Amino acid sequence: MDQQLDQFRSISLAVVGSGGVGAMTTGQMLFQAAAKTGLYGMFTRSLGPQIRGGEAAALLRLTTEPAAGIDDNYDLLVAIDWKNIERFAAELPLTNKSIIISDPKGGEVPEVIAKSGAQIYELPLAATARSVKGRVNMVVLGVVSTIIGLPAQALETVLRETLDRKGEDAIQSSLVAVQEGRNIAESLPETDCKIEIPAEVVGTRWVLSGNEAAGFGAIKAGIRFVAAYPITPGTEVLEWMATSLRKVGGALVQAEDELASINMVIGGSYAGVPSLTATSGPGLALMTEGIGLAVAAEVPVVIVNVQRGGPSTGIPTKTEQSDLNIALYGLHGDAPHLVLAALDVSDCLFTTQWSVYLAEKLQTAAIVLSDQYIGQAKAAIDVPEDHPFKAERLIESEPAEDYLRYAVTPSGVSPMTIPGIPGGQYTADGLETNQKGLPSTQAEHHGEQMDKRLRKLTQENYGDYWAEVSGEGKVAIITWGSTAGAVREAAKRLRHEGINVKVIAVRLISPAQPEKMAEALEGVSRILVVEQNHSAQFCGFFRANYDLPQKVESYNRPGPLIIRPGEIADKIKEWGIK
Amino acid sequence: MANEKKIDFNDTHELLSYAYALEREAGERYSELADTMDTHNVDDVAGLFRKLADIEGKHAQKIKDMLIERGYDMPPMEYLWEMPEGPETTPMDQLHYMMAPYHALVLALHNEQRAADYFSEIAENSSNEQVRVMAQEMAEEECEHVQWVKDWIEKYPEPEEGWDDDLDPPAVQD
Amino acid sequence: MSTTADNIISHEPADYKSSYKPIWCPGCGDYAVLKSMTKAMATLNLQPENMAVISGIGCSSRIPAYTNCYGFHGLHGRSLAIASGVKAARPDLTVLVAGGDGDGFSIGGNHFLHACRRNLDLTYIVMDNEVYGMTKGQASPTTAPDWDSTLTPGGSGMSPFHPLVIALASGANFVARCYSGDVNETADIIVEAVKHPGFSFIQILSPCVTYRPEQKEWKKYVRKAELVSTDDEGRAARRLMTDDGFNLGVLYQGTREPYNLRHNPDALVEASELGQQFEV
Repeated sequence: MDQQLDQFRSISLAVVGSGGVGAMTTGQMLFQAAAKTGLYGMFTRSLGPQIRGGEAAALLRLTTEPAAGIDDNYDLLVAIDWKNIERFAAELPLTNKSIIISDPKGGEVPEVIAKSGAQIYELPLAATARSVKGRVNMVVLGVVSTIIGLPAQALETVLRETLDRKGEDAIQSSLVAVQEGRNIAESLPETDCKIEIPAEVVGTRWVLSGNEAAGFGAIKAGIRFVAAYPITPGTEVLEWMATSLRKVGGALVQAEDELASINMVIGGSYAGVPSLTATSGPGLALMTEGIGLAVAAEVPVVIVNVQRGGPSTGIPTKTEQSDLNIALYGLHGDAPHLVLAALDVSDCLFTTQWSVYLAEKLQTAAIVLSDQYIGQAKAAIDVPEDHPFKAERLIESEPAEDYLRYAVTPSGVSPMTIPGIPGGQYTADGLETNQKGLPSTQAEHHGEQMDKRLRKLTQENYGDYWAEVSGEGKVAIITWGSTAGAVREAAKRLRHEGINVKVIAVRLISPAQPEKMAEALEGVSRILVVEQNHSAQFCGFFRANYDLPQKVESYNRPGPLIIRPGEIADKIKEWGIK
Repeated sequence: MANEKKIDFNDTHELLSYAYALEREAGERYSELADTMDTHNVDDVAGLFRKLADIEGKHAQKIKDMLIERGYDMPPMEYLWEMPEGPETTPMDQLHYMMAPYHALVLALHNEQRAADYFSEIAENSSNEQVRVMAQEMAEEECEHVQWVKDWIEKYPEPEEGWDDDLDPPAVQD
Repeated sequence: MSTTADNIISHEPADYKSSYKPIWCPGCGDYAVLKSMTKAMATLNLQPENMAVISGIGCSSRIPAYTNCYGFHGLHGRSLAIASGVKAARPDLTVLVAGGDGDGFSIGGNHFLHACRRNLDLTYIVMDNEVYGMTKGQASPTTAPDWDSTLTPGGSGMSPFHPLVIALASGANFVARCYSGDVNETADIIVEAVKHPGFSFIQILSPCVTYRPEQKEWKKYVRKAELVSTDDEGRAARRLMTDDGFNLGVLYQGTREPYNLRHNPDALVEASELGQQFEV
């Protein structure tokens, strides 16, 4: 998977503006056009606190090879205006090699931006737009595409697609504005801020968000019932599934709250239909009682949790990886269950699909951790590999007279009946039961059921999917979830500089995989654990569940500033490893 | 909506008190609208609303002076909201986060016209002669304001169709 | 309103507003509701520090920070629970509860039922715009069944919740409906609601300009109800049977005693005396 770093080209650019100028739309169109030319990339954004007319920053990264995260700095920043830029400055790191395009009408370049030493050029964006009675964000489209070298044809195609419903006049006037943008950009000197457009598009590209990918992975695996309550930043999983489920004969019910959501999906699953819900931290907290019920009654259920800044209401629109603790430990009693984490936008599809398969096979609850960063980012990716994982329960279709729903089996998984199968009737329960499913307070029954519910998870062979392991070296960087992108890129750069590191990006967090981890850590003497939360949650779990003869250090911080490759590489370099 | 404006005033003291409350409310409303426009990055409209707030404030002061001149007591606070919102006060649903100065001035014109109409109605229907005379003066003053605003609008062209087109979706905060 | 020396109002609405500027979209009905609330507070002439404004999550729930009173921006749907705790512990405070139709009637639905039953002296203001505004426009419990949204394409297909009916049936002691555009009338009703003992509920129709722009038409449909309020639940219930959702005014003012916190100041004992019961 390691590409030669010399062939890898990347530029990062940002468009900022406020008051409804349409900075997001411009970013979206640039991204879409770039993807059409065969480039890969990621599109994220940052917004002010207003619901309409606020400050907006469209953030793009365009690359010639797949890259699963954002870069360290922005090469190009185009500002339609500088309103409240202090809100974003920390998310817009610039260097003295960066280029800033500023509209003199939008005010002086603020100190917080100018102190980077970036090269500033002034272009009359607003005046140009007015001169052709066009929109300034279209002018910006022309300016940016000229600077970075984006072909006009791709841009026109995307523009037509985006503005189709506004009619030909609107399209023409926009094209004129775009051309004007190109014209004024011609006056700029040549810059390094160019991206190489691939000679031809090899293979098919997708542009989608992590939330959409998760929804698709769920449906691919066989989910046909969703009950959910909208919550930022998970709502898009539900929006995508609402229309998509119908197309495959499934259904989505908007519940009145998360308590209803989790109990509804438990009901759907008990009735035999693979069921899923999606939420974020505050909703997951509400669901913990229900998830415990699913574990106790051995009803398969999948909960996609798109993490956001916590605790409590926290920072709903920003990313963090701070729900690991509640995902692992949030259920009362001893309630073993699956906890997985998607490693990047594309991986949201596979991880969700695999989680559904596992939850159904092992008759348990699976919490799939995504986050606002990959959940809401759009990525331009190769079409993901097709995997065969599908929901397939161990069904007892001809139960005998002495059928035991919770029979103690070697694997721990008991064949289950579903409503409609004659002779298989049982009452699922949150109470502890005997093998037959009748409530029991006896030590023997509690013991055997607890063992079984744990055994079924720990004995399962999860294959190579438990983590993405790459590279060789005495140093290992271990991470989970969306920080994998930054870690992988940091490792690439380090290897290019002759520093060998191993990367272990964990996808299956619970149950722990001691044997596989030991194998992966062979030869490793020093470990850096990287994660996006304040209390190093995964590091704590790691130390508690694995034998670690090696030295372990944590590099962690909470949201909202995403951990970037450069800082991870710098941390490793500090160690002075050769 | 049963908006019953008060038209019958017992004396000029009462009329002046209501007029004072009216102007104050109108001015405060323009200030509030200016704040909203500030928060939503519409500087030119915010500036315009502040100017209008200032004008109303001066008008209110003028009426206050008239009260003092006549040795009348200052009106109590409740007069500020005994009626449905005053005829000169901009309803709060009339804003748009992308509005132009033209739109703001159209609102102001509407307000001044309603105020002029209101005082004219009093001038016509009051049973008290002094009230009629004073209301007539006030109506004439408001008519002057109507003309000012009309002149002002000349400086700001009506925006082209599509001025409220925002291709970006609303932002989610919670 | 009289202006005798006894009840000269010494507060202005501005005394109850904080310096934070709302993030609500320009044109949002909630601006007017904030205005009505501060006017009502001024009329009530209470000290801002003796008032508490409790909310949940959503656009309307941002309101506490825009007032100068003590406030709590709590959890989605749980504003009534928090407010009940505030009032039960500190009966001396004047407690207002505020939020939207999603917060109040969906996830908050259960707490709504029981707050009406409990009849603590609270005033609950719901800014009803028949949509979940903050999370990008989903159907709320008061949305019509055929309103198209991303989570319910083609409409939810569910009958809308009738807040006034539920409030009345659950035992609320004061039930009213207002329209945000009638700033002063709404302020008057808020004053009445606060003064009325027990649980007072006001549904304020408050248009969402961003996700329900058609609600700008509400100003044409709303009307002052023809009948004055009643203290007879049956009569109030019969009126609701012909209610089209646009009748404004106070529907019902009951005579139930507010929740009794069972304080009996004459029967208090010293804590140490409690140990006596264990003596052998």
